[in-house]
Amino acid sequence: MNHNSGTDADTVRKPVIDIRHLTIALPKSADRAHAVKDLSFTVHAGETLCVVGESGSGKSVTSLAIMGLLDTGIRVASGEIRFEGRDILTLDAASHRGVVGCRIALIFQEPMASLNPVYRVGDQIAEVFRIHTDLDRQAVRKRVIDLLGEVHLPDPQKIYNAYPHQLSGGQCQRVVIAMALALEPAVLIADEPTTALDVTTQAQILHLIRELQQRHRTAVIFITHDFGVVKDIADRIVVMEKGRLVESGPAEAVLRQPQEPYTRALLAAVPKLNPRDARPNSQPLVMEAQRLRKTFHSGGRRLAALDDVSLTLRRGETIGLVGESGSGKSTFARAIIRLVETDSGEIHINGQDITRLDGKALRHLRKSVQIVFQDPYSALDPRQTVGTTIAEGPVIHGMPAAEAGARARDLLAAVGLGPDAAMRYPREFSGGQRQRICIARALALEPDLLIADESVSALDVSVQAQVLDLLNRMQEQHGFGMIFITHDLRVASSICDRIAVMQRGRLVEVAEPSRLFRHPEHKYTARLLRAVPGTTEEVAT
Amino acid sequence: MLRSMPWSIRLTFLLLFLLVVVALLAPLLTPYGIADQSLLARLKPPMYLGGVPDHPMGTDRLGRDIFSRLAFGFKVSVAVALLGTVMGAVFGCAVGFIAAHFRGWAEEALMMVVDMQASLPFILIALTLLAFFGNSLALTVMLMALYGWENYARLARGVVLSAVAQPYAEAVTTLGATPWRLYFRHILPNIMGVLIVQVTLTFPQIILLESALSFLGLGIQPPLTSLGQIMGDGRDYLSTAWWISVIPGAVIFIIALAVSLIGDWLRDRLDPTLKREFG
Repeated sequence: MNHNSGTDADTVRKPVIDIRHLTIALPKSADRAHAVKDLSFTVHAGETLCVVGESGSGKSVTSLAIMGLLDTGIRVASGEIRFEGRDILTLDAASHRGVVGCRIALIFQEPMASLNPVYRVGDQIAEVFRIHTDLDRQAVRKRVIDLLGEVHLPDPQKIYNAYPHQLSGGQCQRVVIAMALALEPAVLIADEPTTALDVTTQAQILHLIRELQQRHRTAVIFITHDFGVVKDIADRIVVMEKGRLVESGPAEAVLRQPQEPYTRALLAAVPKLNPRDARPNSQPLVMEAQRLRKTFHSGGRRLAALDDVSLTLRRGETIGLVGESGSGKSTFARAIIRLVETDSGEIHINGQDITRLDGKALRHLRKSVQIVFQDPYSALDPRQTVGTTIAEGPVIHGMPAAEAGARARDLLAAVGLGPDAAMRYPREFSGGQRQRICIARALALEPDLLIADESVSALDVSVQAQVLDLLNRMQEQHGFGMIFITHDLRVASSICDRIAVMQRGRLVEVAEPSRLFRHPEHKYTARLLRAVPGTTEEVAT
Repeated sequence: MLRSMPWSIRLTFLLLFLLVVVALLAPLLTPYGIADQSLLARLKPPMYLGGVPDHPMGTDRLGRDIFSRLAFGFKVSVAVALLGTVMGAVFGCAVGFIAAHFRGWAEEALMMVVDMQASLPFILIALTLLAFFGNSLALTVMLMALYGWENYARLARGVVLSAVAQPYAEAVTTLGATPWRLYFRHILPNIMGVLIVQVTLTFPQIILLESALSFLGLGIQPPLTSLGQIMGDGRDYLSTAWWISVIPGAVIFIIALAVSLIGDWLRDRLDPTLKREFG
């Protein structure tokens, strides 16, 4: 189609956003010259374009470039970003604000971070009207309350006067969406808007975006790494890798018949909802938690994080702990490893009650229970070499330094990193590599119980698959029992022998995946299963 | 690190380096002891201002060579201030670490002491202690150490609390490390940057404090001398022999400014919210 000719507008539907040969340069110190290289795509009114890619693919940079929010040092080197036919890169600051502020809206991943904590949410939305329209106070208030109702927030009057911290993550994201839609923008850019939310909340937010889009015929650019989400909402898909467009096309075509190997690899790495049976296991119990209770008190409010939770685990067994944020799954893990003290209940590790251990006995116990955290970036001491980090556990428990060093090098090889990695610092490694280092550190003590607390959640899908595979292999080799905490039921379904579902501190259901997915007994489990993105057809089979 | 250093900071380092070199080489440059009097050459102005090359910075009321005294006083002032700063930093950090480790009532009690220290006018504490115990070098150093320790305690407590909550600290704990190991091998190296910045910001204040006390005749006592004391010597001669006070005053100013500049630069460099990760 000929974009330059105005007369074609009548015959060909004109795109709202038309990006042509966009190249964004990175500063010299970066690991590559361009964040985005020669990128072209279009978005039409009423259409949802999903931009998919792993971290570092340049998908977020592209959205920031459209908004004119690029960090200093990063600049558009060449190309055009046309909005309704005008290249917005050539606009001066004032007209850019007029176009971008009113007509293009952006939603970020972290809803809490996009709201100012010291203002009432209603006033924050009202500010949008005050800046861009000349409505009077009453009219603005009415519009805001209408908007809050439109994003299905209960009791808009009350929400208007609430502060962000009084709302849940999902409610905050609804407020952010209301704010983004306040001026009826032509384009809505959503940068991983549901990644920080629970599955059930995610499903609701996706539904909301869909619904609002159809009502207002907004063009949506939806940036995500999650193919499940893509399946649910995309009309068209753009796949990006390292700043380049790999493949684009209608959602059906890209998902069903991906042309490029990279797209195929990405799709293959997506965790499948593949409920497995429990492996037969007659080994001794490694962990036995009985009637654990823990209540947090904050500002007069009581939060029951653990409410009478009992669970057992055998050697060589993997149990998945799933539930929404705040359901108590992390508290459970931290109680088992004694990072959190329980109010009552007993925890037996290898038959020994550990709830009352302290000092030397507690430190000795730590040898047998290890944890791998969610964020591999903060979990490693930045000032220690990787070799020292991995060897530290054995050294603490009395192994000679030379022997511990040798074990560290063996483990590095086992987790797929070269022996020269031992001399390097954590910052020289990628997220996936760091998570391997964390796993090696935990395994260096040859634990009987390994807790993986959302250990793959922060990783890209392809890396996620590798790390899961590594955990599986290590378990086969060493035979430890594993508690696998995740919010992703697809992951849990494929690697766990049993899945324990938690809700508000209670364990509502424990079953092997194959049974849990076919016949969920608890209402909440069923709701959780329904909310898994992109699985409508899979569950049926 | 050197490549990213702005020229002003390089100049500052160079200046400090020159000051130290000159102070160390002073005995070779001028043949006078700090107490050598020459009553025939009293109150001589500096060279080029009517003075003679024998006394490049002039002489004081007893005909003592200002340059020699300045070089010696510089060493004393800097040594006392350094010792005081280090002692204060170690003590304050220890208090901060202890408060952060034990939490609960121990933390509240320690932090209350910190608040009390911060609410007392320091010069009053100094005068009281001096009145009770009399002048001595040891007491002067102790006073320097006492100055500003509460800042380290507050700072250390805060950064330790946030560092302990980091996953890497939890990971080390779950490996079975003792608190000693956690604090000294993991936390301390990671918060060192912040503490060093605090040192560079406190040091100039301590130099000034020492000068003020010595100027009042309460700090370093003869026959030792310090920058503040030389300045105090010139108090009565400001109108006739300004150089006795002004030259040491200028040196104090340069040291304080130079270290402050370096401190500000370090803070900007080490603050993760201003720059990319330090490493």
